[in-house]
Amino acid sequence: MKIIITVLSLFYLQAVLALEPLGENEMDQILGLGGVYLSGDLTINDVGGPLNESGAEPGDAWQQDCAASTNERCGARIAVRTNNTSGWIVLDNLRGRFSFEGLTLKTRLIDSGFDNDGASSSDGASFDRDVFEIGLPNTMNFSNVSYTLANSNKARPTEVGFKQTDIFNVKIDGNVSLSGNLLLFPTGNP
Amino acid sequence: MNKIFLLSFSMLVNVVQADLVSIDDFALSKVDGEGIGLVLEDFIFNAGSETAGGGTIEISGLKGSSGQDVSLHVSQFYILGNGSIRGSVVDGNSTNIGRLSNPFNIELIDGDDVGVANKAVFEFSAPKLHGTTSVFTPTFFNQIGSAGDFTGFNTALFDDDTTTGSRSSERPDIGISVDLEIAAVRTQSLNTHYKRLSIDGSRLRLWGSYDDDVAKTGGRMEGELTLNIYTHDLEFFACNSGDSFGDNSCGTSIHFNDFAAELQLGWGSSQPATFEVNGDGNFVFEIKSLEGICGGANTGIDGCTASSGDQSTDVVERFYSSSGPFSNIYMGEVKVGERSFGNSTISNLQIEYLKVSSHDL
Repeated sequence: MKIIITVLSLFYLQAVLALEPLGENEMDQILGLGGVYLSGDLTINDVGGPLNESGAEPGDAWQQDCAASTNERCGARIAVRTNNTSGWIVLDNLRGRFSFEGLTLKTRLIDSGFDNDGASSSDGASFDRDVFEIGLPNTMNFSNVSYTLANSNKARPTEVGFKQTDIFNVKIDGNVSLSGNLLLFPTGNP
Repeated sequence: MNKIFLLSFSMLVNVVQADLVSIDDFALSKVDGEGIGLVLEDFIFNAGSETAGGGTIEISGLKGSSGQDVSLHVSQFYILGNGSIRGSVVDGNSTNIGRLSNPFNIELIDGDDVGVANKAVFEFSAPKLHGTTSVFTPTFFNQIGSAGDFTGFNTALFDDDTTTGSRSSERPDIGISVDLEIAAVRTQSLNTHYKRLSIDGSRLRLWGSYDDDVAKTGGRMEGELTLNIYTHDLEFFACNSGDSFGDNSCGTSIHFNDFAAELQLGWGSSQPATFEVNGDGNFVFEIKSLEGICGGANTGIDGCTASSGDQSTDVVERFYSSSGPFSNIYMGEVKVGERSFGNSTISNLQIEYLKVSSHDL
């Protein structure tokens, strides 16, 4: 029995030796992952969704399909107010599909480039820091994305006395070119 | 032995048990400027129905004078590197917006430094201007008229210049072409193009405020907007729908060469700007009046010295000095076709009170 324990404890000792700190030199050989590549596809309130007819009493006019309603407020609604006793600035009837391919997220060391319009000085060399880089997709696709900018006296159309002034509607359908990188970094002296 | 260890560990644990205490507005107001810098590198934005593969962007819901439906169809909306020739050079014509050493910046700043006492202020700022900071050099002395102090116009602001602000490669061309559709008939295409645009020195500051600070009622958002626009050329023209610059249908261009607008809307908590919607569902944009800020009889252009209001002394005096808010507009040359209409300036325009509200038709 004692022999078994002794042998086991020897194994145990060996196991302790297995973890070693990595030296700076070994760390240098490790390649980080290249970041994240994202593609996205978001569809919201494509056929309207559970919003109600304007002016209706609470709870009695829920619509699932905008086409079935004559006086519809149809789609998602974002209401914001900048004074807690006043009315609301509203993005209403928010609907559509929005997709992109190839948004990248990574960190990047900038220590060169960003020349002063081709002059000798390089902003990148004096910057010499890591930044967080969001690589914009070259094309973003909008499919019947629409919204209405409005002012309203109530947060929701179901509330009693609801009144709303629509300012304009925007509808976007098709591709938008958007390329480049958005760089984010701390300013000041962190 | 074990018991002693346990006891001493439990004491240690007790020592580090501290509550998380929320930071109040006063403590937050001491937060110092470590912000987030934003730079767009090699940026291209191009949209609209007349761009390659582009989709439609339609703005509707407007009415003409006799009730017809009016809608705007964006044929091109672009942000490109300079030299885009009204948005026609797209491929590879990218631009940087912001500089690593002078980026767009988001941060919380100490309100005591910007005329909003004892509050934290959210600030979103464009790259800073350095050196002489106005198209007028120096504006304030020009205002009080001492001979020799006005040294002319700082036209370096319109071009690449490392001493004043953004470089040439950091000044994009921006433009929008819109087809006007009235009662389902497309009539005209309206074009607006900015060449080498920079908004250096612009900033938006926002903070919260109460009508009654003690009872904490009537909370609202207040702000201050400094908007600077410097462009080498601002051009407008109109064509038949679907046509673009150079086509026969296009009218004569109106150019504002070397156009600058330096607008300041609001001035700290003494004269905050607010954007609200009233109880009827109409918006109200207001820049408050200074009237009554000193309290009691202690008012007037000589300044209030009483410690009332939320600025301790001399609010009115400072309002009418070089540190007060003022707006300037400068046009180097107005040209219609090839004919020059000379240049014009508006300087030292001070908004004492402004209220704009919408009403239903």
